[in-house]
Amino acid sequence: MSRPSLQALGDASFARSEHVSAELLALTYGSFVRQLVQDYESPSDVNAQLESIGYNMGVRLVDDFLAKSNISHCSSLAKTAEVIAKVAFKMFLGVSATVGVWSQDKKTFGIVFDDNPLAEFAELPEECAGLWYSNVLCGVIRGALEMVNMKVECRFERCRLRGDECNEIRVSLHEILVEQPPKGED
Amino acid sequence: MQLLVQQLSPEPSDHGFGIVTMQTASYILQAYRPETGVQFFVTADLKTENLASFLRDVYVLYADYVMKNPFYELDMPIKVDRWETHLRNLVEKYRIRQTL
Repeated sequence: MSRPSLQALGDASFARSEHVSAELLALTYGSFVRQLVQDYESPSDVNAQLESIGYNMGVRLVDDFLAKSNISHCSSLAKTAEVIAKVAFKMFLGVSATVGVWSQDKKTFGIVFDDNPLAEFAELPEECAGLWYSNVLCGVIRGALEMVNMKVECRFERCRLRGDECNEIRVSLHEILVEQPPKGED
Repeated sequence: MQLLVQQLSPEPSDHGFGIVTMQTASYILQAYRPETGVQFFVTADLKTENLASFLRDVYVLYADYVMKNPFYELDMPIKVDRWETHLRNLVEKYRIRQTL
């Protein structure tokens, strides 16, 4: 599929979905992160919790994505990257993301986006310098891809809250899982 | 529109994604398997049309009332009232459409 039509698919999926107040989302997510920061103290623990929560969201969200976006089977990692950036990010976050730089072995790519509705009004204090505020997104991507048999690792590379010029999530493909029929079933 | 059976394990003879139809002398069986591996089956009277579109609508209901229900545990049998109600309404909608 060429890039313009994936974009159109993303826009259409976004238009069709129910919209919620951006303030409500930002405040809900923000109080959620604050609570985790209080509970866990160390930013790396909070990052891990956010990722884990995101994972549980992603495994559920992927069926919603597939059911409502009318996306066809992704035949390559490159196509998967484009679909995540152009369709999924648009559909769920309302932002236009692009696929960033690929690694040498073509197994890692970036998802680059400027706006981030989760972090709309946030500013990181010094004691949270190691926090990846929107790390839930990494978990969502990992969870969603695992349900379509791709084992990936996702991590934030750049974050505007940390002073970077944009947000970037690096996604690395570890392996493609092959479904085995259960033993003993006819 | 009669039974809706949902299986979570792939059949050995499964040939990939998309829709599979089987027709016998007395009924049609239609299956739909999206990329996440969940499978939807419907059996219907021979002359029934729109089974593919019906199953896609079922998938939307599944995504809404089963997967997005935080109290539903993945891979467990589905016992969600809202899912069943919406499913019944969908079957009724398609049945009415069929008789028009």
